[in-house]
Amino acid sequence: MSKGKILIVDDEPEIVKSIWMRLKANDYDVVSAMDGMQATNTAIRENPDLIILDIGLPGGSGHIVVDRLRANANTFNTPVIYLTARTSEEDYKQAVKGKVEKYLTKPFKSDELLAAIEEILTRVEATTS
Amino acid sequence: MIDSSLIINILLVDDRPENLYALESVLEEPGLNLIKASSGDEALRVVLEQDFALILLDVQMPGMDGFEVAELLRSNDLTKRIPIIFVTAISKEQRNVFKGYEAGAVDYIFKPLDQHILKSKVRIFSELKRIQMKQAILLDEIRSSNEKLKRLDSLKSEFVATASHELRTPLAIIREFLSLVLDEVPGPLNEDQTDCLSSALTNCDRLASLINDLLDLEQIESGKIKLRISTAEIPPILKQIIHDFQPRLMTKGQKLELVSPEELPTVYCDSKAITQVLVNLIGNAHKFTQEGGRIELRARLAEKTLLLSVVDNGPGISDECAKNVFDKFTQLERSDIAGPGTKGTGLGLSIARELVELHGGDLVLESTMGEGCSFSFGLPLTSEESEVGIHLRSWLKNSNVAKREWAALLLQKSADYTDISGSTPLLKQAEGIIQGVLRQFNGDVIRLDNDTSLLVIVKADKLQAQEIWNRLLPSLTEDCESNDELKYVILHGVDCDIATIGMDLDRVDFKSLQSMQPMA
Repeated sequence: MSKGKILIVDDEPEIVKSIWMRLKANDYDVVSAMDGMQATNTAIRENPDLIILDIGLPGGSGHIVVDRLRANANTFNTPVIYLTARTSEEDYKQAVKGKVEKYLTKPFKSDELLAAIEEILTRVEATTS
Repeated sequence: MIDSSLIINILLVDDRPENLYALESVLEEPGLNLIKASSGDEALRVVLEQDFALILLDVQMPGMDGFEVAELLRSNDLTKRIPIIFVTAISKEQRNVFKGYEAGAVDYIFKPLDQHILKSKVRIFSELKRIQMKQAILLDEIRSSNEKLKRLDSLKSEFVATASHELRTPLAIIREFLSLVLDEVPGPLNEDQTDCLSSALTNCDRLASLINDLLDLEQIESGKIKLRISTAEIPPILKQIIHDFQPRLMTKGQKLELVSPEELPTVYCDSKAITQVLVNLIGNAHKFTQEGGRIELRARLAEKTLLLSVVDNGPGISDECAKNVFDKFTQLERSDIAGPGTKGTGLGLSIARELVELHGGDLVLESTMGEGCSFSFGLPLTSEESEVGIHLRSWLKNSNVAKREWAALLLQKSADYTDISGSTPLLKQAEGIIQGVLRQFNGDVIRLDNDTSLLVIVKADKLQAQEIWNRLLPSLTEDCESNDELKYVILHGVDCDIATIGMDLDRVDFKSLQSMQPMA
């Protein structure tokens, strides 16, 4: 039984592949996108339970994707985890502004990523049920 | 000895050719270029073409006399600094001498000329000129090498930032695939395979922490990190650190103990930065203390500060090594104790010291060989020092500004004015305006703990500062809608000593911006 549907967005195919394998092994359904535009479209179409989002993306940065998601009725409160190599103050500020749930930096520890996903999904479930 | 490597120009002005030749024959020597002018007009033309160390000026000449020439020289910015010695045969009466000084002479020589006096006077002025010329050359060299260093430094900063960013993604991919295989997601492993991959993973993490440290240090050194100093409770921070360290300590069977009174007064610090300092210090002690060793995290009150120290009973650090223990990439030869796999980045202590210094403090190392070592630093108590004081101190320490050459503006949103949102857009707006004005000055805007006050610090003497405030304050009032929204206080380094700035913000005598009078 699936624990939830997760959208992975990263322009590095190997990052997508490794997280895909990890999430599959932990009983999640996975969809993916590799640029900002595709990310927004996939999110609205697939309505995932959570999005793992890179910031530096072609076709609209992670911040722009979050802005678009927040403006759409389907995705306005979909939880987002940033997974990025960027560590600037400005990016942190944007993350807070976009109500991003968690900011993880690359290289990341998969334990931390899985724990964050679990924690967020449990919390969301508790508030919606 | 006269250094004749720099040619010095001396101008001789006299209407009579025989006098010019006489002067020339007395003064002629290597390194001196004697240029002759036979009238005031000619002299005035020549001084504009070349740079002179000295003018020997005859007073009595037909047409324009020496005094008139001197007056004209003094009225021109290009020539007004050239020293003049009047050469005169006229009476030594005070009247004439005075007239000469009025026109800007530096000296007199009376005819008939005493050769020795003349020679030594000229020599003094030519030496003075040589020194000035050498200084100018040196200054030029320093300026251009400074420019070069600045360019190199910003190139280095950019390189470190880009490199560490670009290294992160491939490292993330390597790490994640390694850990997928180690977690046997694609299939089972035997013990040897697990062993090999574990080593690879450990070193991925080592590389990751090196990248993080490099980026941290780079951001601190280039001034990109701004501390968020606020009132902080230290005991919970210490307890959390001790808790988080337990698993690492177990690998070497070491003990980490807290030696501190149960309750401590509050201090001013950036809690995140101080946590990093302590983590780096304990991490260092853990690495270099033998198995079963003992590390203490101590806190105690010392005068106006809370003294924090990390003490170990390891091998200690020799005086020789202590000299460069804070330098980047310094790793002491103690691999026997550290053991394989515990090698650090050599950046931890540098980062710790930089962060302590950003707080305006010093990280002090004390050590006895064979008995261990201690790293300590103090944090200012909130009861003993004002918040304004600590920001000033930290800013001065980190911007190399002379003790008195600073000025500060304390800006506060009045208590009876509250924004609808509860946040502080008014201050934010002010912050923006101040940042705009400060762009041309060496200064900073700091948001104070209570979030209703801004502290603006600039490197400027009182006069310059007044100019800055004159430009700044009126632009701040433009955006205030109702009266008395913003209040201000001005401090100048010459008027007050940081040690004695006991600013209890509630008691500060703020002036209203609205009723502000143009400053004198």
